[in-house]
Amino acid sequence: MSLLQQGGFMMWPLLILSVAALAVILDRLVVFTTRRFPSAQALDTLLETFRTQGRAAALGSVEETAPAFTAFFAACFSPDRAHREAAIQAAGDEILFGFNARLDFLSTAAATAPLMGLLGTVLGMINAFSRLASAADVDITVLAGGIWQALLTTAAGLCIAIPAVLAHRWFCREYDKIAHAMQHAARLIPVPDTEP
Amino acid sequence: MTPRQTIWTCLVISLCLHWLLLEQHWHQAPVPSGETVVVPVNFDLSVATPGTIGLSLDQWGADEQEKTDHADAARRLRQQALKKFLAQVHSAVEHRRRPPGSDLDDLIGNVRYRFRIRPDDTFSDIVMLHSSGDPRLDAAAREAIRSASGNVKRPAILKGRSWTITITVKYQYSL
Repeated sequence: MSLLQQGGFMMWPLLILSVAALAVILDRLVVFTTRRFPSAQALDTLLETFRTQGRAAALGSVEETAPAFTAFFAACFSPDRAHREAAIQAAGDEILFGFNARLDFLSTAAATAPLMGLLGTVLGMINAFSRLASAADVDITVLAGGIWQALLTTAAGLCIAIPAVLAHRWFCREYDKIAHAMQHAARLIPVPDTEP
Repeated sequence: MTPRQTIWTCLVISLCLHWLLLEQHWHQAPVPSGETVVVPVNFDLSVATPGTIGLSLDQWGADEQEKTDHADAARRLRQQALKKFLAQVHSAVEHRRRPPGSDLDDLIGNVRYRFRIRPDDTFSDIVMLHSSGDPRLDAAAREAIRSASGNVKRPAILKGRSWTITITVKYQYSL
C-alpha cells in the first residue's frame, strides 16, 4: 500500500500542492540564477562603453551580458530628459514584476501545507478513534496503527512547507538585491545630453 | 525559452520527481519466515490440556526456566516441540486472516477465539470469547481458524495429545 493510500484522502491535495510548489521553486530558481544584474565591475565597463562609444554600443553590450535588463538600461541611456525618470521607473517595475511572479504562491503554499497536513491528521485520528470506539476489544498497538497513518499527512505538509519557506526567503532576498542594484545603477548612470 | 515554457517544463520535472519519490519503498521489508511472509500481527495464546486451566506460552517458558536445575530432558523436548507446533498454528491462522478478495483494510478490532486441537491436528469446538464489534472481522477470524485446521502437522513427540488454546486475532489498518 502506497504512502498516498495510507495517509488518507488529504494526501492528494498535498501531493498537488507539492508538485506545484516544486515547479514554482524550480522556475524561480532558473529565473533568479540566469537573469543576473551586471556586477559593479560590469556596470563600470558598461558606463565606460556608453561614454566612449555611445548608447547603441552600450545597449549592445547589455544585450549580450544581461538581456533581461535591456529595457531598463535603454531607459537609463535615454536622451529624453523629460521622460527619463518615468521610463526608468516603468522598465524597473516591469522587470521586478517578472522576478516577483509566483512568489506569492510559494508563500501561500508554505503557510497552507502544514495546515492541510494537520487537518489530515485530525481527520485520521477522528477516524481511528471512532473505529476504536466501536471495537469491543482493542489495545495500544491497534491504536498506534491508526495514529501513525494519520501523522503521515502532517509529515507530508511539513516536507512541502520547509523547502517552500527556505526557497521563498532566498528568492525574496535576491529580489531585494536586484531592486537595490537597479536603483543604484539608475543613480549612477549620467543623463546624456544628446545622442552621440 | 519563454516564461510560460519555463514553468511548464518545471511542472513536468516536478511531476517526474514526485512520481519517482512515490515509487520508492518506504516500508521496512517484511521479515521472511520460511516460505511465507510474516504479517506483523500479535496473538495472545494460551494452552491447556483437557481438564486443566489454560497456561500461556510465557508461563510455560518461565516454568521451563525454573525447572532447569532438575530438568527432565524428555519434558523439555516436548515443551519445545509444543511451542514450535503452536507457533506454526499461529502462523497458519495468521496467513489466513485476510481471505483473498476481502475488503477488511479499513477495519480494526480484536477477536478472541478458543478452540481445541485434536490428536489428528484438526481444530474443533471453535468458540468466540470476545467479539471485535464487527461481524465481518469475527467471521474472517473464524474462517481463518477453520481453514488452518488440519494444515499444521505436529511432531511425533506430541502424538496423541490434544490442547485447548486461545487466540486473539488482531486487525488494524493495512497491517
